[in-house]
This record gives sequence, structure tokens and C-alpha cells, in this order.
Amino acid sequence: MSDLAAVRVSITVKVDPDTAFAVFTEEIDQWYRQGLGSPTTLRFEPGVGGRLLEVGPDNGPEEERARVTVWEPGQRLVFVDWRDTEVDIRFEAAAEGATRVVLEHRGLDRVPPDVAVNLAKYGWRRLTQWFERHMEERR
Amino acid sequence: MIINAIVDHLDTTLVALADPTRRRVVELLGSDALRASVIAEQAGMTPAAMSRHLRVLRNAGLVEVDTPGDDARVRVYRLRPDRIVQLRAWLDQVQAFWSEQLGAFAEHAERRERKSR
Repeated sequence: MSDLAAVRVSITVKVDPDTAFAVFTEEIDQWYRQGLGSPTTLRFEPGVGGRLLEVGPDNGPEEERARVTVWEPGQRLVFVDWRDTEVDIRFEAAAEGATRVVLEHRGLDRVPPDVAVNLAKYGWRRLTQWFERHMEERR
Repeated sequence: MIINAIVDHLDTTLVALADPTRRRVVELLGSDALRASVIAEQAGMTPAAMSRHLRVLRNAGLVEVDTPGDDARVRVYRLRPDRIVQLRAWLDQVQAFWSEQLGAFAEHAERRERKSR
């Protein structure tokens, strides 16, 4: 049943697993899409127990977004976010020096009801946008 | 069991949401329960045309009607607090979110690799 509350997404990237892991963690602020014009930056503290921090402008207030539970450079990264959901990312060597990145977000049913209500409202908006895009792409 | 329910729901859900007016209604009800007349007005439709759409949404289990006060004539529509539909919607949202993020990650990593050569 736990799989029911999980999503899995994968992508193949044309860099080796060590590079993929390094870019994913060290350069998260350069690729992660925050809201447009977001003034904050993202940063991983390396190693188990390290935090994923959202840092305000000019090294302003830091906010913990998640905590690292598995840190295996070139292989695997797991972190648990403030809602107690878990993101597990595996970096698997693929053909021709590429890497298959498999991301699984688990425990989405563990979110407290009051948080889930808000997320569900927000989710509806995202769903309708997603659906619209999907229909356009199919045309 | 739950998976079957989701699949069954998903079909009717997607059909109901295939219409832009009905997607607009779901968005409107995402922030609050509303009377049919208000929904019609905000969507720029006649109440008669809107009532057809509301019926489709009700049949799909996406919205329900409630009489919140003493006056039984005051009826509001609200999104149904259906755990399965919400969960499905949410999972889709999370999946779309991560697809976008991983796409951005791959683009960045490959662009960087080309530069360093």
C-alpha cells in the first residue's frame, strides 16, 4: 500500500554518476526551479545529517527544507522534508558514460490532515494546469 | 481495491476535467464553496449553461452540494473532500513537479559538461 502514496520519475543525463551527484547537490541552486523571481537560494550541507537550506537574500535567514539521511556520492541521496515525506534519488550508471537518475518521493500519505487540505487545494490548481498542458501537447 | 477505485475515478475525473469551463469551476471552488449563481457569474456564463457543467462535475464526484445555513434554499457547491481523488490529484502534481525539476537538472548538467570540454 505504501507504493500508492509514492511517485517515481526518472531521466537519463549525459554525464557520469559522480558528476551527476555533484551537480545535483553542489549546484542545486543553479538548476532547481523555484518560483519565478524567488529571491532565496538553495544549498545542501554535505553528508548524512546535513540540511537542505533555503537562504534569504544577502545571506539572510536560513530555513531548513529537508535533512539528508543517505549521502553516497555517485550513487544515492535521500532526504526527508519538513512534511516527513522522503525523497530517494539513485544515480545508476547507464550506457556510454551516461547516468540514469531515478527519483522516488515516498510517504505522501503521511502528511497531517491540516497540511494536506491546503496542499490539496493547491494541488487542484496545479492539476488543472498540468492537464491543460497535457492536452495541448497531445494535439 | 483502492487502486481499482482510483482508476475508475480517474476516467470520470479526466472526462469531467476535459472541458475548460469545468476546470475553471474546480479552480474557483479550490478557494471556497460558492453558490451556483456566483460560479456562473465568475465564469461568465448563464446559470442555465452552468448548471449543466455542475451536473457533470457532481456526477463525476468532484463536487457536492451543501446547505450550510438554516435556509434550505441557500445551496453552495464545494469540492468533494474525497481522499482518493485528492490523493490522485496530489500525486499527479508531485509527479509533474519532479519531472520538471529533473528535466531542469539534466539540462543544466549537460550544458555544464559541454562547456568544460
